[in-house]
Amino acid sequence: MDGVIQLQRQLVDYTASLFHEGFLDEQFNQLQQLQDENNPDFVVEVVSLFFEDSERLLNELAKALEQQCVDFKRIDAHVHQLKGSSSSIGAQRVQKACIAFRNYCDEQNTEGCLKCLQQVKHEYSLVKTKLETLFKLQRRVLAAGGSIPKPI
Amino acid sequence: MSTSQNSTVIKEEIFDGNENHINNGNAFLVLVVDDDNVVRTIHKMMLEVKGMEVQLATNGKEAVDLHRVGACFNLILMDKDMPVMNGYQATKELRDMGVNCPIIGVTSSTEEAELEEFMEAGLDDCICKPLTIEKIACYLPGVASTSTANLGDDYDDYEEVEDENADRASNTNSNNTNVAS
Repeated sequence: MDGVIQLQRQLVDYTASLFHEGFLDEQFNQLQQLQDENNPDFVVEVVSLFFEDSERLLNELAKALEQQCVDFKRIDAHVHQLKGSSSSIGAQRVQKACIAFRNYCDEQNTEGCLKCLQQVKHEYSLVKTKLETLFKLQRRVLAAGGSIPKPI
Repeated sequence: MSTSQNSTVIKEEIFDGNENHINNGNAFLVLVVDDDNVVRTIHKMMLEVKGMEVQLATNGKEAVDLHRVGACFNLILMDKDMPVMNGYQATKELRDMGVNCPIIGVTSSTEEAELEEFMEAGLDDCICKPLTIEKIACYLPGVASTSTANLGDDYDDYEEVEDENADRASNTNSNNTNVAS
């Protein structure tokens, strides 16, 4: 029993750190509130969708910025979509990186866009790693016979 | 901008071209129109846990086509930027067709000029993503506005889980959540 409680504390502390470091925001909390016994894997499923879509969009962005004639409108549309989906799952730092990216799209600044793409990729990679760690911790708690604590 | 009123649920059964039942005449039916899979999934769940029935469309044309085959909804959540037909065009078409249920624009855009332009298509309201039930509570039956807890304190104040069921019960009471069934 002590082992379960310790794992749960670890999970809670880790989750709290993700919020305090700005990786996640209130929207992630909203997703967790939607998960229940009828939809026990909702958060993992939605986040997995986000990973798939984000990786596709990041590939599209990289290709678009390699073109001789850069289509800034198309790039802006992709970044806009990534901004929307990242905000919907609470990936705050990815969302903020997308906002900066869109500014360079408006200016039709290829170099700025390339730097922003790297920044977005970096933030995405970080949040992906953090979330995968979070889900791993959750699985450990469940495997130990505990349940995922919800925030008060 | 046309003014719309809340439509009453029409008690007839309507099917789309694929024989899918799209209005059972009893539930509060919401059409979620968004090209993003993640967003559609989240919005659908948010509404379903509050007892709404949800239909999805991936762009404005799909939303318009649903209405052309006779679908009707109690509420439409319309994304702005979509391929094929965007939210502005879809909203205009729906209003021109005589669709008078509330249509709420849901967009990532924060530019006031863009939001105003979107409103001019015939929206009842326009909100910025991320969507929360709080933001659309007034359009949903039996859903009262709730105040959200301070996120920064949520995990810091986590209590020891000696008896998890007892803790959840006391936490539910202390949250002052007020959601009517």
